[in-house]
Amino acid sequence: MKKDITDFIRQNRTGFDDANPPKGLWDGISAALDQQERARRQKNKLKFLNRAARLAAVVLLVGVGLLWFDKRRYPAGDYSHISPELALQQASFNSQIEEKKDSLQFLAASNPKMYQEFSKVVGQMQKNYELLQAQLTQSPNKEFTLQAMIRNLQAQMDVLSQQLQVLQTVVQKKEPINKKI
Amino acid sequence: MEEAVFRDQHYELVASCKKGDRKAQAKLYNLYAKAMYNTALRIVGDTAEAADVLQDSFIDAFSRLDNFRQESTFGLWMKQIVVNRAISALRKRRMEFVEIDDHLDLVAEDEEINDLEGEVTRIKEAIAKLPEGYRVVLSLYLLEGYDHEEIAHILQISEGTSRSQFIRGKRKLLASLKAF
Repeated sequence: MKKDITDFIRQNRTGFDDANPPKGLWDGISAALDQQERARRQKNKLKFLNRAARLAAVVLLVGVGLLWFDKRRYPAGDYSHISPELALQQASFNSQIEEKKDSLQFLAASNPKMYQEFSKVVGQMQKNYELLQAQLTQSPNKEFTLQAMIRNLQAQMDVLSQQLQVLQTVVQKKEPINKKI
Repeated sequence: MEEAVFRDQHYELVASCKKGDRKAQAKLYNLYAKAMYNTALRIVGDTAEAADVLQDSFIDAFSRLDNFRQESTFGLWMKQIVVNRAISALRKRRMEFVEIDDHLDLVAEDEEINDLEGEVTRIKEAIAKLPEGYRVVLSLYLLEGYDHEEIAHILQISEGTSRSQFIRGKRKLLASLKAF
């Protein structure tokens, strides 16, 4: 009987796949896949960190830019964009405080210990004021914070006035002695 | 015309492998390793090299399984990887497919073969002993089921060369079988 080799092979196809792959080959494949997986995770981690760093840089730049823009628009100590009346009040209180502080310094020249005590009290109040000032930029209600700042300045003025009175009394008491010399 | 609805019998298993399930991957390997190893062995003609091809092919397949859209069977996709890798291994050894004159060898078309009688092993051994170019074309055509157009594409040769290499190879195979 005539037989074509092509037909014969196709009819007996399975018989041609008789060789067996070496045992343990899968272990090598599995190990290589594990290694790839580790490398991929490491790469993803680096990618994530890289992206996070870039994002942080962008946020920082935008923040600095906004801050600069804000500073240019509203110079430090100018609160007229929040409330013109309150800003006026704040400026006026501030200059009065400066005057009172000057007077106090002048009168206390002969009384350094007392001056130190007084400055400590006002200094603490000033610190609170600065705290409020720092909070102002983040404050959801800027007018409210500015009012608190003004109340602080008012309190500082009251304290300074009292301190001035005390010092004036002390200086008056000292003066006759000085005249005698 | 109605489109044939295609479904791979290992569709779910392949889907699990895509998720990186190592057990599923081992299962799929066990299902296909033997057939793929034989395919590689027929092309490279060396057991150690065939094992390397098999290992590299499975690592390659599992690491880019995401690209496999499951539009054909995993077996066909995998076979393509194995064949391509086996051919690359051969190319490293500088296998050459020489363009030969088509007209000279077309006489061999209807050669009659007697006395084969289930001599699978004899044929297998005879194919293995053929020169590389013939062996590869003959294996791809007769055993892997590719047509000349596909073989031309895989080996980057013309379709005519594939046909003539096949006819020459077949003649040589028959001649060596008669000499047994």
